[in-house]
Amino acid sequence: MVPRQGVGNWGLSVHLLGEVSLLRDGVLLALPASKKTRALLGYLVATRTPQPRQRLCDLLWDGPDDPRAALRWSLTKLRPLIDDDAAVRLVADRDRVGFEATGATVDLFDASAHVGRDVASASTEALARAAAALNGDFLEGLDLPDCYRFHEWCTAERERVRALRLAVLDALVERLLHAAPEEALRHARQRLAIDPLCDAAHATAVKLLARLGRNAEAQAQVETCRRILERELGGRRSPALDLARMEIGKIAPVLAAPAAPPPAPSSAPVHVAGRAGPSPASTLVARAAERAVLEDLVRRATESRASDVVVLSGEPGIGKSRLLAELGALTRALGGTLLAGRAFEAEAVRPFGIWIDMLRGAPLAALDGDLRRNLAPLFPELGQAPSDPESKARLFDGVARLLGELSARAPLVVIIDDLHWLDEASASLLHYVARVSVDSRVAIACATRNGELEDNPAALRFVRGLRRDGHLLALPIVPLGVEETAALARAAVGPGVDGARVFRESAGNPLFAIEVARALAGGAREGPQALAGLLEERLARLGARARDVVVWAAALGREFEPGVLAAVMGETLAHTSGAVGDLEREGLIVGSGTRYAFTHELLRRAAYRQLSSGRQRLVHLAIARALAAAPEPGAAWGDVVHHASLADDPALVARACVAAGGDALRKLARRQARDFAVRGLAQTARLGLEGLATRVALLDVAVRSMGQAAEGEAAFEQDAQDAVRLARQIGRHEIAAQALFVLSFYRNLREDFEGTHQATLGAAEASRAASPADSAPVLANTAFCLALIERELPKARALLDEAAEIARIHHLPMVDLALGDGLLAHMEGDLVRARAAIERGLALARVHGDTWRESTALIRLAMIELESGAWEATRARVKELRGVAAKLGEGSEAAVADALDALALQGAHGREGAGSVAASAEGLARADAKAMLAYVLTVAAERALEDRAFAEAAKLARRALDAAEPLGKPSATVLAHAALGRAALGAGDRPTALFHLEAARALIEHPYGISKRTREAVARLNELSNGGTNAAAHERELRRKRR
Amino acid sequence: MARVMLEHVFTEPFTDERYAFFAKKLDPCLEVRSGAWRRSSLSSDRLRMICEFEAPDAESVREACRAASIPFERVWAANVFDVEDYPEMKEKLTALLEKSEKKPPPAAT
Repeated sequence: MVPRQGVGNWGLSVHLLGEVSLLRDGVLLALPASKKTRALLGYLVATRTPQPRQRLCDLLWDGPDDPRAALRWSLTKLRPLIDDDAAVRLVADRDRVGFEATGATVDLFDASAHVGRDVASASTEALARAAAALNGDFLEGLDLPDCYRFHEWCTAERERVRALRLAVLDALVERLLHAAPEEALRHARQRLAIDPLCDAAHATAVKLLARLGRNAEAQAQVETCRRILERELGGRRSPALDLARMEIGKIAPVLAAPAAPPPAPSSAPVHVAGRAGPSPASTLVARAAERAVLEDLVRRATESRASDVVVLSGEPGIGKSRLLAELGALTRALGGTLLAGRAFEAEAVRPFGIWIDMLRGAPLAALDGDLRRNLAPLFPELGQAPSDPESKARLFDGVARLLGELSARAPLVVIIDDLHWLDEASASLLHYVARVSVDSRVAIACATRNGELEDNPAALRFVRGLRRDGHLLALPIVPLGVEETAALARAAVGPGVDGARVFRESAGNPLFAIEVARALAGGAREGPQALAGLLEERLARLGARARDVVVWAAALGREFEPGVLAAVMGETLAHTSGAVGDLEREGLIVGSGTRYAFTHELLRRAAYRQLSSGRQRLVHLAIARALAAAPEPGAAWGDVVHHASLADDPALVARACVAAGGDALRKLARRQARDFAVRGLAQTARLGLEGLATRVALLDVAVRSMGQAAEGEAAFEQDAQDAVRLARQIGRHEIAAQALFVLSFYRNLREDFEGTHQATLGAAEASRAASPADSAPVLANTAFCLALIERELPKARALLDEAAEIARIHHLPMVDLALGDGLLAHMEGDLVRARAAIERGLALARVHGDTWRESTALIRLAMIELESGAWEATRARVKELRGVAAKLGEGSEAAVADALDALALQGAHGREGAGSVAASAEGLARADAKAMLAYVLTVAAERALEDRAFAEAAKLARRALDAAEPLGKPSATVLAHAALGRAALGAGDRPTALFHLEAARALIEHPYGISKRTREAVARLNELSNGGTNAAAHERELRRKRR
Repeated sequence: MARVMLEHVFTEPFTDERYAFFAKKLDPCLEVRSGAWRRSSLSSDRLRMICEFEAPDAESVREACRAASIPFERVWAANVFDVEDYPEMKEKLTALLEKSEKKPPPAAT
C-alpha cells in the first residue's frame, strides 16, 4: 500500500475503467494476482445484482477442477478489500453472491450518472465530468479468451462503454468548438486515441488546430491521417479531411483569445530554508508566468511541500525543453539537486532506460546492503538481481528511498522531457515516485508534445493517474505574442531584425521564430517559408563531410556517442570527430566529448529526411548490425530491435527481441519482456523453419514474462506444441527439447503438474536424441555435483573430460565445466590448475547471476589460497565471499567466511589467532555446516601439531572427526584420523597412533576417491610412526614458513 | 545424523501438486547427500510449511535445496523433544486422545 496524505476520494473507490483497481481513502490497494479473481470483482460490481454461484462458476471456472472451491477462494481474497467497518459490500449466501455499493463510489456508475438520460440532454459541465471519468477501456487488459462466457460479456460491455465515450467526446467537441477550441482539441485528441481510423475525427482536429493558429501541427495531423488511411484502409480518400486541410491558414487564429492562464503559484507564505533572497536572474525571454510556476515547484520542494507534478505540453518548438532547462538552472541556483532525463523514440523499448541514465551519477557504491540489493535489477554492478515476486515492489521502493536520501540535504527536482516516449516500466516507476513524493523534498516536472501522449498508453495512464489522484498541474505552453516573439528574435540575431515579420511567419513558435530571424539576418528572402524548409537550408550549408555524418547521427537518434557513430559508419573515431566538431560549431548538436544531442528533434528529423527511404533502410541495417556485434550489447538490444525494424530485417529483429526480452526480465520489466516476445514472434512468422530456434527462444521469454498470471494463454500452448512438432519433423531434437522445457515451465505456472511431468519427460527424451552440444551441460553438471559431494571422483573426471571435449569443439563456455574441473584439480592436488579453473567458473557464475555457484567458487578459492600459504590472497577472497553471503541471506556462507578469515589471520600472525579460529568454529557449529567445520578444525589441528601442542591438536582433531564421520566424505574422516594419529605419537602414545593409522588406511582406497592432501597426510603419519626423518624435517620446514 | 528443519513461506496457497513437484526435484539431491525426508507440516491456509529431514547436517539440506533450485526461508538442525521420551506427559496425551475419540459426532444439519 502507498501511504498518502492530502486530498483524494475517501472511503472505498472502485475503478472499472482502465485497469481494475480499488482505492480506500485514496490509497491504492494491492489486488490478488489472479486474473479470474479480478474478473470476478469486475463482473460483480458491474452487474449490480446478486448472481447465482453456479453462473459465476460457469463464467470463470468451467472445467474438471472444483470451481466452487475456486470461487470461495476468490471471494476470500476479495472480502477483506471490499468490506470494512462502514459496510459489508460483498453479500453472499449459499446460492448467490452480489456487490452492494454502500458508501462506495464506482467510476463507471459516476460517469453514467453524469450523462443521465442521454448525451444530448446532459449539460456541458456534466459531459466534461463524464469524459474525465470515462478515461479508460472497461476492465482494460483483463482478457480471458478461454473463459468464453466472460469474454463475450466483457467484450459487449467494452463496446457499450466505448460507444458512450465516443458520444460524450463528440458532443463536447461540438459544443466547445467555437467557445473553447483549446479544450475542444483536447477532447478531439482523446476521441482520436479511441478511434484513430475515423477520418472525420482527424478532420475535426485539423480544423481546431487551424483555428488556434497552429498551422504546422494542423498540417502534420493531415499527414498522419493520410498515412493511416493508406496503411489501414488501402489509401481511401477522405473528403472531410480534404475540406479541413483547405482551411489551414484561412481561419483567423484565436491567438488573442486567452488560453487558460498558467495556474498561479501557491499563495501560502513561502519560507526558503537556507538561501534567502530573490530568485536568480534568468536569460529566458518571455514566459514569466510559466517561470513563476516552476519557481513555486522548487520552493515547495525546499519547504518539504512538494505536491503536484507539473506537465508542460505544447507543439514542437514551443519552448518546453527550454523551460525545463530553466527549471534546472533554478534548482541549482537554489542549492537543489537535479535529475534530468529525456525519453527517446528509439528507447521506448528500453525498460527503465531513463531512470538508469538519471541515477547512474548517484553515489550507488555508498548505499547500504538492502538498498543495493533492491536496486540491483537496474544496476548489475550492485549484485545479482533478485527475481522473487516481491522484487519489483522492492525496486520501486528502493528508488523512492534513494531519491529520499538524495533530497535529505537539498531539494531534489526530477525532470523528464519527451514524456510521450517514456517506456512502460519507467512510467510505472514514475507514477509510484510521484505518489510517495507528496509533501516531500522531491519535485517532478515533465514535458510532452501535444497529440503524442495518446499514442503511448503507459505515459497516458501516468498522466491520467495523476489527474485522478489530484496531483496534476497541467501547464500548456502557448505561442508567444508579437512583442515576445520580437524580443526573442532580437535576442537571437540582434536588434535590427523585423520582429513583426518574424511573428507573422512563425505564428509565435519560438524555434520557428529563431530560424526565421536567422534566415532574415542572413539575407532578404521573398515570402514565408515552412520551418522544415528553413531547417533544410541550414543543413544544406554544411560541408559535404558534415552532411554525410549528420544523416548517420540522425538515424542513430536524438542523442549519440561519437564512438558508436564512428563504429556504425565503419570509420575510426578520429575520422569522424572532425565532422562532429563541425556540427557542434554550426549549433546543430550540443554535448560533451562523449555524448552529443541534436539541439532539437525537428533538426534531427530534417537531417533524417535527407535520406531516401531505401537508403534509410540500409543505414538502419548497418546500425543494427554494428550494435549487435558489440561485445556486450546489454540494454542496447532494445536499440537493435528498433533499428532492425526500421531496416525491415525480420531475422535480426527476432534475434534482438530474444536478447532484449531477457534484459527486460532481468530488470523485472515483465510487460516489456512480453512485448518483445510478441514482437519477435510476429517476425519469426516470416522466417519459416529457419526461424524455429529463435521462435522457441521467444516463447521462452514469453513464458517467463507471464509470472503468476499464466491464465488464458491457450494460443501459447498451441504455439509451443507446434514448435515441438516441427522441430521433430526436421530432426532438430535439441530445439524440440527446448520447446518441451518451455512447455513444461508454462504448465508448471498453470499448476498443471501432470502436464509438466509429461513435458519434462519428453524434454529429457529429446535431449538424449539431441546433438552432443546440448548434452555437454548435462555432463558437466553431473560431474560438478559429484566433485562437490566428493563422490565417485574417477567417474566425475571421465564425465568432465567428455564435456570438455564437446565444449572445445562447439566453443561452449559452461560454469559447471570450469567449476567441476577446478574442484577435481583441487582434490588431485594441482592447486595452480584448480585456481585457474575456478576463477573461470567464478567469472561465468557472475555473468549468469548464479549466486550460489559464485559463493561455492569463492569458498574454494579461499581454501586454495590458504593451503598455498597466501594469507592476504585468502583474506581478499573472503572479503568477496562476505558480499555474496549477504546476497544469499540464510545460509552458512557468512560463518564460512569468518572461519577462513580466522585461519588466514592465524597463518599470518601465529598462535595469537587461535582464539578467533575457535570462535569461528562455533559459528560453523551453529550453522551446522559439518564439512567446513571438519576442514577448519583439521587445519587448526595440523597447525597445533607443527607447534608441538599435541593435547590441543588432539582435542581439535577429535572434534573434526566427530563432524566428518556422519558426512560420508572419506577425505575429511581420514584427515582427522591422520591428525589424531600424529597427536598421539607426539604425546608418546604409539598404540593409539597406530589405531588411527589403520583406520585411515582402511578408508584410503575408498571407491569415492581421496584427495592428494589426504594421501600425503596418511603417508606422513606412516613415516612418523616408523621413526622416519623426512616427515620430521617436513614439519620443521612448515614451522619455519609460519614464522 | 541430525534432525534438520526446513522452513518455507509461500505467497499463494501451496497445492498438493506443487508439493509433489518440489519433492521430485529435491529428493535426488538429498539422497546423494545421505539425507531423507521425515515429515512435513503445512499451515491451514497453506502459506507456510515446515519439513523435517534426517541428514548429516543442516548444510547438506541447504546444499541440496540450492542444487535443486528450491527456495527456502531457513534451515536449522534441531534437538527434538518428543512426548515418547516423557512417560507422564505421554499418559496425559493418550487420555486426551481417547476422550476426544469417545465424543459423539455433531448432529447433522
